[in-house]
Amino acid sequence: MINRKSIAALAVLCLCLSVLHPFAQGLGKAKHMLGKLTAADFTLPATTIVDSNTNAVTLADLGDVHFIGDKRGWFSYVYVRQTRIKILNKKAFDLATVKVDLYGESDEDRDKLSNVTASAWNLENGQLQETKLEPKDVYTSKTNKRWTEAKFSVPGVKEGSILEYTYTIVSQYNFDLPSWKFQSERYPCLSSEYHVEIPTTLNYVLVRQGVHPYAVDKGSTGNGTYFVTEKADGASMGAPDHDYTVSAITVKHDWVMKNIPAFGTEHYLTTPDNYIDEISFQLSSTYNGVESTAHMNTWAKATEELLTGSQFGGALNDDDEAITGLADKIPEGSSSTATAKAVYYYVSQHFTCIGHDKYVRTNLRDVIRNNSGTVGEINLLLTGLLRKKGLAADPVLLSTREHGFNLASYPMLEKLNYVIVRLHLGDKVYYLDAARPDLGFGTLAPDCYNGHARIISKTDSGSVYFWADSLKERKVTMVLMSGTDKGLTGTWQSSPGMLESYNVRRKIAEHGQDQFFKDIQTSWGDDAEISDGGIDSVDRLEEPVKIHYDFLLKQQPGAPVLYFYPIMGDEWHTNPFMAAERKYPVEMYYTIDQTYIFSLMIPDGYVVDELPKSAKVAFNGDQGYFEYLIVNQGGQIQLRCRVRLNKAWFGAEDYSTLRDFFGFIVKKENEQIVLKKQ
Amino acid sequence: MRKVFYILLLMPCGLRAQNYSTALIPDSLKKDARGVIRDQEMIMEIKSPGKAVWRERHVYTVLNSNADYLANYRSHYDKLLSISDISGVLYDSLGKAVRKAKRKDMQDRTMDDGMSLATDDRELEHNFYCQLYPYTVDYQENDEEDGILGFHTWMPLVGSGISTQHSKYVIIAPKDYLVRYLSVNGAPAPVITEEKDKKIYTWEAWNMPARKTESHGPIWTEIVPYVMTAPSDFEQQGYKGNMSTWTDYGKFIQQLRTGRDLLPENIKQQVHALVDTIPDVHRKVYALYRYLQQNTHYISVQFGIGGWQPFPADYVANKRYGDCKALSNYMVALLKEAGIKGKYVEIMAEKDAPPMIDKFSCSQFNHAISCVPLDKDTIWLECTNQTVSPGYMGTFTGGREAILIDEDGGHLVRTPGYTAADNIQCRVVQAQLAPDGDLDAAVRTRYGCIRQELPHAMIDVWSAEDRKKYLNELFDLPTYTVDKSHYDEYKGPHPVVDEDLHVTVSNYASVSGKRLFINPNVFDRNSLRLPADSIRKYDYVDDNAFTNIDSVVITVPSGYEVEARPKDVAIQGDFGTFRTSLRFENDKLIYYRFRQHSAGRYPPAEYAALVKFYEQLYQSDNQRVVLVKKE
Repeated sequence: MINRKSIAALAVLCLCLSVLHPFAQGLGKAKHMLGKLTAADFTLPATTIVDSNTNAVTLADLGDVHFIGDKRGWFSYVYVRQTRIKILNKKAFDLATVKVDLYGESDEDRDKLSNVTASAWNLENGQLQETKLEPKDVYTSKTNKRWTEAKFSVPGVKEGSILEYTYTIVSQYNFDLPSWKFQSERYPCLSSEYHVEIPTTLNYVLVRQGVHPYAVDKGSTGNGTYFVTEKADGASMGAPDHDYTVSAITVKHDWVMKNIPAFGTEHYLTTPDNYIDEISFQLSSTYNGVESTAHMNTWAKATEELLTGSQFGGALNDDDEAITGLADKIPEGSSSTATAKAVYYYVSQHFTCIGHDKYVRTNLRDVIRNNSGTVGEINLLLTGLLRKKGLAADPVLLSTREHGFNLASYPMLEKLNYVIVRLHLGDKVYYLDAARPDLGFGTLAPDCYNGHARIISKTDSGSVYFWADSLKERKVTMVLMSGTDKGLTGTWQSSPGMLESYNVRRKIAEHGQDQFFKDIQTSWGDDAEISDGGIDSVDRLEEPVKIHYDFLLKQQPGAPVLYFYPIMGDEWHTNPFMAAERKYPVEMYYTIDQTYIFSLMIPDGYVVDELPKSAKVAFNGDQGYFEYLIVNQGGQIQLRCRVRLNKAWFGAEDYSTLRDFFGFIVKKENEQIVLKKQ
Repeated sequence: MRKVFYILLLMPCGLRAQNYSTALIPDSLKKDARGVIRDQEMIMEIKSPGKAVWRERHVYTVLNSNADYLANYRSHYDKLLSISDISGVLYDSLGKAVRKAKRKDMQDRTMDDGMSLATDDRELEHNFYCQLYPYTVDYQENDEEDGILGFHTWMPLVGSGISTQHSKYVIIAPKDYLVRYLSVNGAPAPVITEEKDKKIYTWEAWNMPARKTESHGPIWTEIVPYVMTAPSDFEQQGYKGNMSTWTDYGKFIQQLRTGRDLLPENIKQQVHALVDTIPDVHRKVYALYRYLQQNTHYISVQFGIGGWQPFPADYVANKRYGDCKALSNYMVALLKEAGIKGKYVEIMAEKDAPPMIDKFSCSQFNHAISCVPLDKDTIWLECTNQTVSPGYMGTFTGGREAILIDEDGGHLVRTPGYTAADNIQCRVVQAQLAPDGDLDAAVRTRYGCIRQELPHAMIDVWSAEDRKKYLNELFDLPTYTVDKSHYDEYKGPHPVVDEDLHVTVSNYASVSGKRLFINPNVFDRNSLRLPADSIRKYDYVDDNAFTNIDSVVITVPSGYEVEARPKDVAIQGDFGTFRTSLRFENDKLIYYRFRQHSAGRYPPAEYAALVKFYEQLYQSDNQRVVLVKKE
């Protein structure tokens, strides 16, 4: 069982620096660290992490990062990856196809992929047979402006093969080093190692997460010599490039993990990325021989850089004129709240969100001109427009749930992927997201509820937390029935929570209100006839919708016994927690509070023969309850049923209680009332 | 002088002044419409059998957000088809140009489907993201194509709820070049004119009101007019061909395969070691097919003519992978080595693929398979799948026409289809109900043909973990656990999977003071209800043929008698057979259900009866038996 508290530990590699005498150096070929394959490698060792359900085993996965001097007068990293995998059966053939993403817009600047070798080894009559990848079978293709994908498929793979591949990437983009996942979602791994050697000119912080122990976790120091070329500056045309050699003490670290089981994901788990064993890095400071420069190594520093950088806060200053121009088009309201709403809805309804990027790709002029932008662009534009109207708005950086948790203690920018806006109106604070057109003012989508978020402000930066436990989905449904000469008739009305309302609105936008009620009629079939359907508050995005209609139950007239379900159309029909066991925490998107109220005037000539029994159960003390109260009083049956969970996240140890709790709800909500003719 | 005239004739449509104010759209085109094709022109000029240029213009008005997809312009290109010029304009509702887009404003991306290792398919994409309705977009592009293996299909009505004000398709060909076309569903014939040494074919349509698809209705190509066009002579990357007949089409494909069936020596030896001692030809084929399945897997690499031509057999032998063409070609080569005549077949795969238009020879295929014609039967082989049964085509390629490629050209063939009797799901449930309503059930099910495709995938494709997860979510039961599962698979042209499950269900029955409510149909309830008030214009199409048989015996605690129960049903008619029977004796509920349905189409006049039929099923399947304690 894994607990959510144990996710991340922050460690800073501590470094010192010295400049030593010149020394020649080259890129250097990666040494073959895996060792030569032998027939013995085809026999898997006895280990509990491999069982009859295993489709492939990673025998060894090895990553190495070191640095070289580059032609920009600075340091590039060299990442070498070597992997050896035993394919047990066909279900794991997809492992033979390897994809490598390379960053960089121009051919010159792009990450360089080299030394790609790959083979499949098969044991034929005790003999090792190797099928090698031909260099021409490595395919590259530009995915988009910034990313290029290289792909190859190891040839000669069949059931029982061992496949092996290695490649090297040289990259000048050293703000992040490649992160290393020791654990895989689907396949167990016998040995996973990561080695880094970093000159003390560069300092990195690293974040470690996961639960499995390290077999090796060892730091040391060494010496490195770096051959750096500085381009001649443009002023002195024809001047030669400046070459020099830097010798530096290096900081080394080795991490080794052995026998790591496959993760194996489950429902109601947002992303395995929060729990698997992984190390990630971010540049914290650099030293050029004279002085040290900090790189976003505190939230204060990061905030300062974000506020001025042209890909975030700076973009607002760069396009001040265009933003003013747009702001002037949006009429002010009668109050600051009305103005804020006018600006918010203007942005959310005129701009289409085309991606989850926190940064401004080019500039906000382009966003205004193209009517579209990333989340970051749209919400920064919203920030700028609100400010133009004299309102106190600031961007807030966060990570959506699918992107994983982020740290409050250190600005790991890779872990942040989304931007919202904090707005102060008097003493009230609103959080806005104009990137999703159907959200109401002051509402966030549930995937933004992922813990820590950071306000990026000149005046009051700080942390703010959005927890799923605080997002409430409250629903009230009321069904009132009575017997008439036509049969049992009633009215049905329901106010779902904001999220269900959002879905109802989408449905109506797509298919119309008529179709909405036609679908309800179809779901009733011959059991009932519905009429006078209506939906309130469809256009008032800040409020939940309210759905209502009348119905006539088409029961056999004059039947000696009437059976029916008092909970109509709103019951938990099956247990949402299907699996019998659970390894990981249950992470739901919101807390539930569902109330169902029912009343029935017993039709003339009938009496109650049997009623379900009232019941109330608490869930884990005060974490929730289910209540089912039913009475028959003066010819009227009244039922009040409520399902309430005060938390959205539960530990794995709570799972069976949770499953039993819903099991009981399903049982009660599917009980029937029996009326008998007198 | 002649040149000037020629340029005028083919003047890019964009130079013409046009008013795209939405006020000019006739009311008849707004009815039932979310978008309108204002003007669509595609002009193809065949310079030679190896070269063509395209000029296209697409002007679309988006009336509401449901037609926004129309305004997302995408244009495909690859190594043989280049876009020489492309631009877009956005007009407001008054027809005023408000924004323009050039090539540099467009996204340029790979069309990698995630399945291919490598492909040269790319696209330019652009969207103005206008949200002020109605608005109009106008895109123009000029393309150049090397080789003319396929022409466009002209379909003036492009989709449900989109009307068309004007649509035009022009093919300009050298006078002596035969342009082939076929008008389908009442599409007009072309107007053919001649200019100097050119022959010009023009199809044109005006003011076509929007049509709407219906749920379970016929596919779009069945309900709208369209014109298929195709080359006669063509050339690509040094290969020449003609596709005026299926024979000629087949000759071209055969030409592409020539010399590509040579196996390395070690593979030849393996083939002989495998089959030489087997006397029976069927068993030889099965053995070779198993060899293929064990030694290769699917990886797709598509560049240029590579979309048509298989990689050679030695490529597959060495790499142990290939795409459908390479693997099918390899299978034929293995068969040849064993002295068996295997054939290469081109086909349109996928469950809901449109039927092939057999009277018009052109590429209508996206897949290749192989087959072995024998005296009494033909063995069909899907070569991209490592686990499927030999001889089985299933929903992916079964029951449809295809083109078999032989030395003498192409031949029309039909793959085996599967009837209601083939696609069986026969289930026997022995269950015990505890006094508190919990159910303990042993469930044995036999699945045949199309019905075995899912359990087959569960065994052979999914991980054990995924299978367990799936089984625990499959059934419509309150809270349950599948604590034991076992499968036996019987391969062959009519494959069968036997499944053995042990299922425990909490609170399956509701137990009140004196009553017990229980549904005797535990696992096979029909939940489909059809909208009763739909007015249909088209047939209701149900292509699924199957037979479901359920025998259930539930032993309940003693001391109960029946108070209410669903009626036994016996329906036999146009919509198939549905029968149920229920008995209660010796504390046992004995339930039998039989449902058989053959593929069918029901005209609108029968729709009301169909709604009623499904309602009867629903009622029968979802009613509980009420047992009451004996007094």
